[in-house]
Amino acid sequence: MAMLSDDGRPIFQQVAEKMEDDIIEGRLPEQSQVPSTNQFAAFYRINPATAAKGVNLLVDQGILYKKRGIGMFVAEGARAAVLEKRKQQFYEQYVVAMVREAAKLGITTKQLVEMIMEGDA
Amino acid sequence: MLDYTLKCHQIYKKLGDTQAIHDAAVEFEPNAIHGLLGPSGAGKTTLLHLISGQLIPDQGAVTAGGHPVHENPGIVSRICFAKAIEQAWSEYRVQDIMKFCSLLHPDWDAGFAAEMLDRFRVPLKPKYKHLSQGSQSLLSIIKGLASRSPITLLDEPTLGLDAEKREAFYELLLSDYSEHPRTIILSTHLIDESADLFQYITLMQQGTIAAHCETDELAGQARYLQGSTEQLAPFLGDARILHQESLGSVTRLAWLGSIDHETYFREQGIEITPIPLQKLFVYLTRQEQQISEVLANENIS
Repeated sequence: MAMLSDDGRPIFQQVAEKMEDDIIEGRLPEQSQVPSTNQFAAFYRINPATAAKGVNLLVDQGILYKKRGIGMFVAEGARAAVLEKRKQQFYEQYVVAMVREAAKLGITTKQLVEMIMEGDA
Repeated sequence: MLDYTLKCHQIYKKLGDTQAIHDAAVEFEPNAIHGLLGPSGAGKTTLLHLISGQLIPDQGAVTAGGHPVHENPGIVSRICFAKAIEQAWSEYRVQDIMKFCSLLHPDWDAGFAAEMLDRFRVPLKPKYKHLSQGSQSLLSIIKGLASRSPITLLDEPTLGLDAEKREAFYELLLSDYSEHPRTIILSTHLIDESADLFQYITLMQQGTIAAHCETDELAGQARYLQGSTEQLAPFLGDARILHQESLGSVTRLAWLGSIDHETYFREQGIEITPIPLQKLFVYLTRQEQQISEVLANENIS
């Protein structure tokens, strides 16, 4: 399967995240049309119903909207909304995991902060 | 548009001395790709024969849109059963086989069939029995897809195909299904490769339907629990464990269904992670115990 990971997270969620990445990085600008579910299905080699579920996840969050008879488009303000959502997830996904791993290795908070500063330089 | 919802009503079938199918009940959602999974000998091919009307159940019935399939030409002509090996075709040339198919299937797409024969380099002149196993499989695939039948049954379509051709088949299946949505039931033992194709899966065990559910829903209920063997010891023996393995003092359980002590587990540092679909299907088809009861208790199927 092209580009989607095999970590067991639901595939429709991964499809939605790929689209979010594209929105954040400007490959899918606001008001641009997103590929059809059939195109997603072919590209990731997944069932079209699964691809549709991923698209609908973003429709429900107001990140995409449907133009009747034409297709799905990126909503105005979608980038800011996605960024906000992903920043919250960043804490859960990365910071919490990093702090736990650091504790396991005996890295102190001070050392951790120093490492981050170093990584940022 | 006619309703082609396919339903097996508690069907039974004996083949010789073997009770090949017993008490099989399932309803296939229309216009979806279904995966029919199960260990060999579980009854997948027999079930497909029964669905196609080519075998008659001893008890029970198969219906499409509420009408019995058996001896119902109006329905049978809308069902295409593509077998891995077509005994009846042995003495015929490929070009003649394609001609038969065009007569048998009212929605036959001859242009598409010709294009596929060309693309997969299946020669037209040789007799079927002289084709390689791969070309025989390709011919069945072409029959199944070009039939455009509202109900298309593909039995082990990838038998004898090399990796590249299998990949080409998966792409073809998806694009063809996207353009011509219909009910497709695909039986396979190559679970690894095909897991992501299925919107629904039907799991067979010992001649009956052990589970039928939406793939996403099933996957959402399956998690690995990994922690020290000591921590997990009290939970061993639970019917929800699909698989367990240990490495030194670490144990990993593949768990299907609700987790009663999720907070406790997390506090204990037991890792809870999703199970990749491919792995989950392998665990399910390997199961010896009756998975249907677990799923019923968990309200999954």
